[in-house]
Amino acid sequence: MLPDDIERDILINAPVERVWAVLTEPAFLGRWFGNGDPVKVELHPDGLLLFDHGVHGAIPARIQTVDPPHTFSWRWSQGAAGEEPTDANATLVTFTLAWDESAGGTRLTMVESGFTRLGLPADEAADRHRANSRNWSGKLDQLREQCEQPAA
Amino acid sequence: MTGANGRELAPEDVLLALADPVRRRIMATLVRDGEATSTSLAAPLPVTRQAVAKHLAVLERAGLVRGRRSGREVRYAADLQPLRHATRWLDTLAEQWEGRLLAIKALAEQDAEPRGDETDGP
Repeated sequence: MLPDDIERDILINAPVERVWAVLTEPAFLGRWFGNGDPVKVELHPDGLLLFDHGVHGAIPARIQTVDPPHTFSWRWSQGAAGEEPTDANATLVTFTLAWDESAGGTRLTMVESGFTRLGLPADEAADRHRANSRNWSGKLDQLREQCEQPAA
Repeated sequence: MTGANGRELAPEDVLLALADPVRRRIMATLVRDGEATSTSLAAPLPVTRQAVAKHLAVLERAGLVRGRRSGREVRYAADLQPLRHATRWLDTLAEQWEGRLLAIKALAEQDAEPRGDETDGP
């Protein structure tokens, strides 16, 4: 899979509220992401979330959406460590939590989007996103497959 | 990995270069047919030769094509190495997310008592 978005989901045998706590509380955040120490979180829109990426340095993320216990999202730079997210360097990470009645657990979905807009100035990025968001998915994969077939 | 101008190439340069449908068609044609000129590339496309030349310049900066002067024209060929590099980069990011989601699952499923002592929210 190589779309513009990275999407992953997982079924968790715990209530939605519990998964929300693991996602957003400093002590938990530091254990599933980072070096184990509590992560600095300002849990509100535009709040700062500071991830320790070890050898890559600290990555400041800006929280976009806090809608407990359903949606949590942040933007972060794909560029150099320490860089604040901007329209030209950032991808958006969105977690969605939903109770799955049939499975009896919480379905946690993570989408990181915006890879094909990296490097574009803000206005171009917005244009590109509109033009591209419908048709990009899978295109690079197709292209790679085409490219890697031996010439006919 | 470095590009044609010696600058360090980032995976996003490759993704950005391939975010355009015309450039994807140019790449597909170059891979299928081998070398081509901007004139021959423009023929089946709904854009001018000048526009194709600009697209080729973007692809060349991303390291995806190489131009070679042949008499009065420049012949372009595809280089797929940067594409594999970008693919690996995204694959690595996706694997990292898989690891993180598994860690979230493990934390949420262990000792699943509600915690009433955390007051970090607004």
